[in-house]
Amino acid sequence: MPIIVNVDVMLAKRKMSSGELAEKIGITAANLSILKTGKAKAIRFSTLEAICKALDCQPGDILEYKREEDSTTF
Amino acid sequence: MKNKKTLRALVAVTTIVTLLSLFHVISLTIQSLYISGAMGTEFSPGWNEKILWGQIIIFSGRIVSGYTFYLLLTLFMFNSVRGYKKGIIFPKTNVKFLYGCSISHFFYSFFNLNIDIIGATNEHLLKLDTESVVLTLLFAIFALMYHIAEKISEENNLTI
Repeated sequence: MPIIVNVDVMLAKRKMSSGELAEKIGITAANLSILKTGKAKAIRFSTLEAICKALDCQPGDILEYKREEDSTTF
Repeated sequence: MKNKKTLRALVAVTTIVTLLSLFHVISLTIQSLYISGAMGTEFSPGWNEKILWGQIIIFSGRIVSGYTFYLLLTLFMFNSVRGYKKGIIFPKTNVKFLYGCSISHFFYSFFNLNIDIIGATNEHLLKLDTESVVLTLLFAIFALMYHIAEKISEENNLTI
């Protein structure tokens, strides 16, 4: 997935655990894990807002775009 | 999101479908036993050496496809109830059951339509009616739409 959610960096900066963040933003720890591991297909604006509020950051601090490299092999 | 009323309705429909499927399976078994001559003496089986293979294929195909269709239908209903209890509206395995129902229904309709080959004295012309084809296609379209719904549901579950 080209969009990467870098929550770990902000969690470390704010000295917060994943469990605490999940509780603050109102999602389960499993869903937060899905977000962190790149398995999520989409993120709601309400969730993004809650994360930014909890971590006191901007969406750009936690969202990164990485271009997918072509990997054709012969 | 679970709703007690919906669950009760689902359970009721599953019970009805299971009972009807069981009735059809028993009816199919008894019919087959009579046709083969294994049960009853009023009907003598009309096995014809000239078209024996065709008769065997249609006779056994009717039983196998009939059992398969009603089994898959019942499994689909049970799986739907089980999935709903877990909060899954469109269980993934139901897609396979639906496609299976579609295929088995076609063969069951075809073999059912041509069961009169048992007792045929000469060559038998195989029949195929539009109702069988249309119902099979409807089943297949429903299976496809269910498949799409399952994919959308999965994607929705992965939307945080």
